[in-house]
Amino acid sequence: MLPPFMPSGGLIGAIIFGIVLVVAWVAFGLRIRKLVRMLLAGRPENRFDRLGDRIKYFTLMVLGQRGVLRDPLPGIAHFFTFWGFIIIQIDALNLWAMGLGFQIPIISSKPFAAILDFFIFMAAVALIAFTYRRLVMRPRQLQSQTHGMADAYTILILIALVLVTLFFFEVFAYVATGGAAWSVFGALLNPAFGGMNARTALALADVAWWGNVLTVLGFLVYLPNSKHLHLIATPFNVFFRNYAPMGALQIIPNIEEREDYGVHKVEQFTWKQLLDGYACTECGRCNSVCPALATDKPLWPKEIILGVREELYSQGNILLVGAGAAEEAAKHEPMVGGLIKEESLWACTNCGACVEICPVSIEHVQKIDDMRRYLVMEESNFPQEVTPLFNNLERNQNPWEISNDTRANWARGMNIPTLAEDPDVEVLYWVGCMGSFDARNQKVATAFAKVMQAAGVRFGILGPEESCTGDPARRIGNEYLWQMLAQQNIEVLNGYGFGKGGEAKTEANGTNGATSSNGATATAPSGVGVEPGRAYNVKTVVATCPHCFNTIKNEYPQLGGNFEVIHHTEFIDRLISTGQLKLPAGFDRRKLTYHDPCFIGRWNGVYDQPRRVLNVINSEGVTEMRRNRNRSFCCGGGGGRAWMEEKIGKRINNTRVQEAMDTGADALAAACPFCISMFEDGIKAVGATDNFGVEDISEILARALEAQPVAAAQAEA
Amino acid sequence: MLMMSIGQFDVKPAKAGFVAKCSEALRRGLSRPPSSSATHPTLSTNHNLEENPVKIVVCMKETPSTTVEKSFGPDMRIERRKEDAVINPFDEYTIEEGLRQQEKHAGSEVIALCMGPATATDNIRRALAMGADRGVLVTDPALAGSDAIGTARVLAAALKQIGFDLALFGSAAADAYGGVVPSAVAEFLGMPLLSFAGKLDIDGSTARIERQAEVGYQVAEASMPALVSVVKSINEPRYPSMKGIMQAKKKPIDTLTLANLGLDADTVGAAGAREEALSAEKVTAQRKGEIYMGNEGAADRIVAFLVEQKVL
Repeated sequence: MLPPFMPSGGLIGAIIFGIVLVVAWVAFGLRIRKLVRMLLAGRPENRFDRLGDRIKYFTLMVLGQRGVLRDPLPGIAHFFTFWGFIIIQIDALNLWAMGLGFQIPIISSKPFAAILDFFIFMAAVALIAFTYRRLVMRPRQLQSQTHGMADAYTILILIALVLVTLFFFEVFAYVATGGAAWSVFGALLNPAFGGMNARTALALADVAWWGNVLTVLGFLVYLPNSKHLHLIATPFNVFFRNYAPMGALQIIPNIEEREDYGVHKVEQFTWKQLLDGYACTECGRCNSVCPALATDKPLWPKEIILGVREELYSQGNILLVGAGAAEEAAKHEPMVGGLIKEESLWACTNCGACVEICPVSIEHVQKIDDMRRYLVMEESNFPQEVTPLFNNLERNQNPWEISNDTRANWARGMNIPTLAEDPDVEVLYWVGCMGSFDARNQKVATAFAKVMQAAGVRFGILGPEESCTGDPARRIGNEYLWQMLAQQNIEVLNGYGFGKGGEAKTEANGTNGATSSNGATATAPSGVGVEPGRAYNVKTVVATCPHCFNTIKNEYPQLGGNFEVIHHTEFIDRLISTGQLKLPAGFDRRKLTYHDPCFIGRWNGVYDQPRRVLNVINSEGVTEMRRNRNRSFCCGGGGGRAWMEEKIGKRINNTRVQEAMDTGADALAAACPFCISMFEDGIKAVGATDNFGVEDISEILARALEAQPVAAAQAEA
Repeated sequence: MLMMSIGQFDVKPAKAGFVAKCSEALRRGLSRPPSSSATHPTLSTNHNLEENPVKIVVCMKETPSTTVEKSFGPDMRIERRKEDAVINPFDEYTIEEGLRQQEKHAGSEVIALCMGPATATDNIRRALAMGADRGVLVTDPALAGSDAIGTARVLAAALKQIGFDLALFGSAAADAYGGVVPSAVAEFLGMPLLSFAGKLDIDGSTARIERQAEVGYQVAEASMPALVSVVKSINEPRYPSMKGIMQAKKKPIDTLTLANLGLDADTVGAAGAREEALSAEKVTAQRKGEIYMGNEGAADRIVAFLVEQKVL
């Protein structure tokens, strides 16, 4: 099909254009080839499982733009930029074809032209919105430590050029051809140019065309060399997102037979982790939600991702040349301690807010912990106060200089059997170290035990046979210690018949834990599979500590330990909903707010269950904090931070306590021993001990049950 | 911080032994008169004292973990369970100090020396994982029941056989808290002991320590080879890296018996013990505290108490 005219300006123009076209594509291809080869210098990782889910999620997130749409203004603008870009690219094929003297059907049709013009218009509006945001609104998250804004403005100008040249091409092409080259803009503006000489219009259309194709081809070359590489990499990154349980760190296999542990050289990351760097749009949402950064600690999650990418770029030639470049590599400043600072790695609370909010499925926490693993296991380089933790976990199976033989002491006189005494109990209460030894959290353990007793649950504890789950060790980077402790616990649990059998699952197709709300997969409540009318299955493990719960549920399967484990808030919710636990509803008349612990919330999707329980026991229900549910702000105790000193910046726990108090609540309901411990300190620090307190949900329930026993409550009802 | 040096103690090598010039105050701390006629064997393997590398032997004991409930057998000895055995916490500082000296003096060797049951190799591996180069375990059925003097006799003999420029000890062991072994070893070797070091510097020919005193600190010196016992403030023991743990599996641990050391069985172990535990009793923590609440006239009662105690 012949075009109405050849905007390249004839044969010579077509030849020149043909050369430009080929050169641009070759340059593009070479750059992409290098980028892919650098990715493949990383370690292998299987991200080709669950293809059906991947396609579904891809459709929703990439084509539907659901991730970015959560932040409405830039979200909607991005939606139109994205689709405008796609449509303009498709149209570009036809423009190029015209330059070479032919035309592509459909793309050259009127309906397509109408759609195109709609998106050109919307993209132009979006562009203005983006420029306004960058110049006038200036959100803090857009600032970068390592990158100037030049990249961002370059792209805004390029997009503007593409839009403007396309617009004028359409208008003048319409005028020149008397409407044969139809477009909305042309039809609208034709009257204004109606008197224009056709030859002049044709020349102007040619100029606009050259302007457009050169801009688009220039863009093609520039793109993979700029932050806008994300235009290409993001869809892939979303497609290859993590489908292992979100709350699980990856295992280091064959740990006793390895030469290296964790990551300190960029090529020790997996190809997918490196792809994260290409996919980063530098939007800075991760920075804006990071509790460490919010309290002035030197952790910019975005800079971690960009640091890895920078390192990959600067090491790229060495990696690709391979042998012989060792000398050059030796001169290179190491990545950990160089582009990525140790104090940044230690500042992370593993709260997952960055992972949760990232619209392009980047996994920050795994990278941070991979580098911690290197520091701990290869360099033995970590905050000094962690040494006693490791030593005690090894020797006493708990974080303190306390004999593990005394683990069940808190339960003395409460008529709670150990499994050694009664192996036939239905439920194992996994008390955890905090509940077992920490004076404040022993009260929580006691309260929860009383609640279960009130509900007639046949439960027992492990006592001295329970060891630390290893979570703090793993999060700090001591994978070896985690594996030792986990194996020990798995053996004990299997020994009492709690194992569900099954082989060790590969990380990539582990059980479906919660996926982030940026994920398409909804939370799978662990209660699925319980007989109707029953609150729990026989041989269920219940944990009051979200960290114990998370690692047993999501990480023990990596070592072949498969258990049905739920968090106590979820367990209580089920006891209530099945009628097994009767509560004096509305007993608690204080104004309550609730803090979502990261390790049941973001990492496991347990948001509703604790709230449902509180809504029963409290007369008013939960008064939410500004940041709640998946946007919850960490207490500061995760990622092993509870065992480290917090020396830099403001204290995270104080910040959160203040936020809780700002709701006007009388008390803060919590569901994690570390949160409780952090908040107890925070409440003291802000001097609010007299008018504000923190309590575990089970403590509120136990007090209510004590003051108004169930029988009485029932009679009242 | 107030720091002052209140004494200096020099030991310089003489032809056949040591001649010490020291202040009276410090002489009292010595385990033997420095004018002893005992001939001192050439222990050092490092004959050129200008050379930097040194041979360091760190002495370590295996003790029951401090957190386990201790029980006594009919012989009044602590019952030791293999799974509770850890490196004597004091000795972690000893090992660490050996490693830090090695880091300062490139090419130095650190040897972990332990007297204990055959299973003590696990804890020696821990020292090797921290970074020691090799281990020596003195083990012999006849050693069971050794008292401090017997232990010192064995360690002295082992040190003599291994040879050293610097031998390090913890200041006590967390099982019996005797604190005698380092000085007893010095006695057997006819050497002075630089005890309770809070800081140690060696330069190949001289070892110099700082010892915390009630006011300020003392500085003491001895020529190398030297025996030094260290206190916990001297360093912060490292946690072994994974690399260290893996490398430790390949490092050698030599085993020595009494016969290897040329010691008679009746001079050590229960047979040679001059010390006998007669009875053991559990210490019960006696906390006598009284709590006065604010609404019970607490202030008055506290004032009365302080007057009674003659504080006010």
